[in-house]
Amino acid sequence: MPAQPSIDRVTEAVHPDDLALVRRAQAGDTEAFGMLVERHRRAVFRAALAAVRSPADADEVAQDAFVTAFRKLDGFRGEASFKTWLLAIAWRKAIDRRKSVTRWMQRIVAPTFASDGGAELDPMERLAAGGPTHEQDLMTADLQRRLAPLIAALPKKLRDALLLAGSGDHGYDEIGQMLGIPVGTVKWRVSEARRMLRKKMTAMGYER
Amino acid sequence: MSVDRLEDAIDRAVREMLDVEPPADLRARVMERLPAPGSQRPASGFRLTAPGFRLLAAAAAIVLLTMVVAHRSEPVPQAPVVARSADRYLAPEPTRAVADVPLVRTPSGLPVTRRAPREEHTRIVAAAAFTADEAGAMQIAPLNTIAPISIERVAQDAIAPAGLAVRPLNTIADIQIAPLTPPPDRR
Repeated sequence: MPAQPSIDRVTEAVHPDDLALVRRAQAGDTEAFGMLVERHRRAVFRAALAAVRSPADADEVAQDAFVTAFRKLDGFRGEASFKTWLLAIAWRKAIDRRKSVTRWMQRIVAPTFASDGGAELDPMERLAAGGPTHEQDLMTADLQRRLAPLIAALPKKLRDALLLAGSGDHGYDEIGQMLGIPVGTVKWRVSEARRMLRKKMTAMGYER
Repeated sequence: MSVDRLEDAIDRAVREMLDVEPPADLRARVMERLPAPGSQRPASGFRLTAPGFRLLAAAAAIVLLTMVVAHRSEPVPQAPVVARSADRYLAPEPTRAVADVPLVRTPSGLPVTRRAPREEHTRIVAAAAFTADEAGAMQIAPLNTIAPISIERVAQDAIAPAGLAVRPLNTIADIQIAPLTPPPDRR
């Protein structure tokens, strides 16, 4: 009687892990690489957005990062996870982009953060979900409107750590490897960023 | 406002700043930039094409040629002029001095080893020469005689100090001290 394929093998065939896709891509299977792109595009895009602040720039950075990753795929040894390796590439690209003086000038003239015009939730949906009251909503909206420029004005090192950690897409280990700093330093930067924000908000009249 | 509320607001603000979905066609645009299946995936780094190689070789040749020409046209150091006669000047001839290479012998008479030869260096010696005719024709005026200097003898005058008169000290009168009397209220 022939042996039944194990559940793991079936799962592997349907949802191959990153390493399996990388091996296939290294062998020239671009479709496998396409699956990797689909799987990590959100994390890569948000990491880039945390650095460059503009969705259009983040899109270009993400695209460049994936193409570069494909070109350098032979150099991927599997010592770190593919996602971490990919995010490190994306972060370097994003930092290069951020350093561009022209981009800086464009950003100063027309800030394009999502908070300036984020998608509004349907009020009925909020009510059904037991969300905050209208008054609380107004206070929170006011607070966040004031927080966004304060976050943008943080020192870059603190802001990067805060945004990457706050995105929810990356763990501290991953952020540490992306930024090339120890995990303890990542945690300190996040904590320091929050402390500075609290201090500024208190000074602005949002008493504790 | 509580600390929790402020912390919560920070979290929300951060999430909202990054709450942007990547464009749906990101994958398609990435795939467009990748080589088609079956074709050779470009290796990392740069690949040197034939025209590129020719260009690089030509550039290297130009650099090499420039270096050789620059090396050949370096100015030869001139010897310093240390003396001149009227119109004759003998160019200095470089003399080459090679330092001795000492030999070291071991006390036991084992094979002699030679130290590394010292660096060979060249010394430039400058000199001037006169012919016999030139030397004879030169007239040197005699030195002027110097008149003897006369110095008067130093005269020694005797110093007679004036007589000193010391006035006798005044006599001190005896001091009379009256006996103390206690004040009237101390009785």
